[in-house]
Amino acid sequence: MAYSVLSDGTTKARATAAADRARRDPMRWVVLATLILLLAFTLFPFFLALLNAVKASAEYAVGGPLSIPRSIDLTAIEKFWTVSDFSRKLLNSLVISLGVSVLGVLISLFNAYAIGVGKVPGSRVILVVFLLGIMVPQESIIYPLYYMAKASGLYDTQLSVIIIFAVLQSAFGTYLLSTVLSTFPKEILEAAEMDGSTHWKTLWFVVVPMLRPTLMVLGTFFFIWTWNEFLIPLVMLVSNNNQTVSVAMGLTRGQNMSDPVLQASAAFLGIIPTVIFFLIFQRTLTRGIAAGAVK
Amino acid sequence: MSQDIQIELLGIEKHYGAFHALKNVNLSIPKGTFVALVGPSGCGKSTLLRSLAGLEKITGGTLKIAGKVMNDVPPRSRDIAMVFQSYALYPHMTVEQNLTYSLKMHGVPKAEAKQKAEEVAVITGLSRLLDRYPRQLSGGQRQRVAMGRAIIRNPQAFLFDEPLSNLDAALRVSMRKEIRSLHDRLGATFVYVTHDQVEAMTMADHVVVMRDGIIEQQGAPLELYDRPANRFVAGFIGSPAMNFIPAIAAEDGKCLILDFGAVKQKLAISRAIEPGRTLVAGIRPEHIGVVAPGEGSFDVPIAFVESTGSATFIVAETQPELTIVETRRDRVKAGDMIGISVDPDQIHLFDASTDRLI
Repeated sequence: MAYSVLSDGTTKARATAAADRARRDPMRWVVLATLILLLAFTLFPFFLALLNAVKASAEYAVGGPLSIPRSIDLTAIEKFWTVSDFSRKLLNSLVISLGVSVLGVLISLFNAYAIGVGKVPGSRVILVVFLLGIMVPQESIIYPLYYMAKASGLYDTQLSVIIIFAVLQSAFGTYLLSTVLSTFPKEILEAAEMDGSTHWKTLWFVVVPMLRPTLMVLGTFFFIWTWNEFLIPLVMLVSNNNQTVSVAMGLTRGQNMSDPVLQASAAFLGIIPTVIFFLIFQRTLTRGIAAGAVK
Repeated sequence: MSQDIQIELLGIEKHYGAFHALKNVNLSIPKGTFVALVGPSGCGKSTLLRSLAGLEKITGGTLKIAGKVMNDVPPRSRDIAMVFQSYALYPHMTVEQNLTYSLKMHGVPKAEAKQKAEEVAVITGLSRLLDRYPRQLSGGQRQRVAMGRAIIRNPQAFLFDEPLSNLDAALRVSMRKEIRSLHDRLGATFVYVTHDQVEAMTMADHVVVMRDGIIEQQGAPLELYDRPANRFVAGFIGSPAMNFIPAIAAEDGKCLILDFGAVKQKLAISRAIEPGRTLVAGIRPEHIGVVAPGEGSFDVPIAFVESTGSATFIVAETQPELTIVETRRDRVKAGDMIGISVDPDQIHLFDASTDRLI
């Protein structure tokens, strides 16, 4: 904390007294305690996964899940990596999540441009339908999706998953971007029109650059949501080579390997990419939510 | 002859649902004229301008630019440039990119566009700002970029939608001169919308006064000042506003009996009016002379006096109030009695029921 040099001692004393009073306020301690508790609850699963991933199986059998490992044993992690071909799963998840992110943002953008800027007739009805799209549970549509994928020959391809999630998530994206675009400064669009810009050119040269923070936030959300998806990839991606990280993690249960240490390794390896992504995109997310999306 | 007319509006009608925004508007603008559309808020001047631009579709009538009907032509094909009230600059583009965007849309090669941008920057005083972004510019600089963006297209006509209302008073005065000199330099047709009648009077060759969707009067600025066609135009043009006093023509037809409520005063006029006719006398504050009590047509008490240093504003305690402007220091004060002297030629007479000039 920086203290400025004060000519009289009274002001400094008053500032310190205020800080002291704040520190002594009992409520602050209650809040702090609650936050630490919540943090502990949130971090506990990660901690548990990490703890047991580096444990030797024998130690787990003896000490249980909460025992501290006496030495770091990476065999479970190595085993899971090779048996599940984890690098391949990572690649699949990356391709699918990235594909959904880009395609979902594009679809949302085109929809929202027509609704928010173009103000097509029936916009309100269309938006309500999109809202329903956000609310529909995946379990209720999995059968039709399965049959459609089979009929179109896209079953067991990454493309099927990309298309499905891009469409599902563009429901939210359309809704969000329509709201943002309906408050887009009208005069700038009119100026572009006077300058000879067509609707298409205005979208790419004027609207998208100005909307970049919001689009990045949306894309990041789409990426993270898709990465964590389980049901649809589980159903659509049957062969080993196509499966995603979440499916690989899920399959460690109920198969021949019902090894808790292996499961912990799977969980640990599955969590790490998400954490890394969040650390990379954290600034984009907070900046985007605060500035771009609200704008 | 029609080649000389740049813009022609014939019987223009515009409805917003039940609201009748423009009612049978007829206007012919010769090439190279500086036309000001002026009027109070809601009179339809901005609607008319936007209809010219093509940003609003007219409900009826014909709109012609350079002899061609433009009713259903989209804005980008009308070869008209517009300067918006809030400038509407592209925030993610530099000044140079803002200027050249329209050229980019029309497929002009980059080198040529860059050169044109530099030429326009010289005209608008933006040469050192080409790499800046709008957020780094002052209000006046942004204004110039907005104008530069219009100039670079070399359009048939320039439309201005209250471009100076977001600037402070001093900047407004200097920008007025710049816009006028730009017009003289380019020789282009300017259509300029403003709610400020001083702007209209000082900048335009031709002033169009609008109210409630119709054109009340149009003509040269001084024509509107000297011979307003009705009470509305008389009160709108000129600052401070004209004084209106209800009156009746005297029996001899050569005088007016001014009705100041409890007090009636006689005032000589320059032409004969049928005796007994009810009308409204309009006298501009600057046309009322202050003399010693008893030496003028009649005397009035002073309610209050304001001095700007170069002019004195005197408000007389009459019903209705009389505002007098003297371009000199006056030593009168509130409560004093003064004599009123008016040149009969400067009295405007309006019919009491139709408000039209007699």
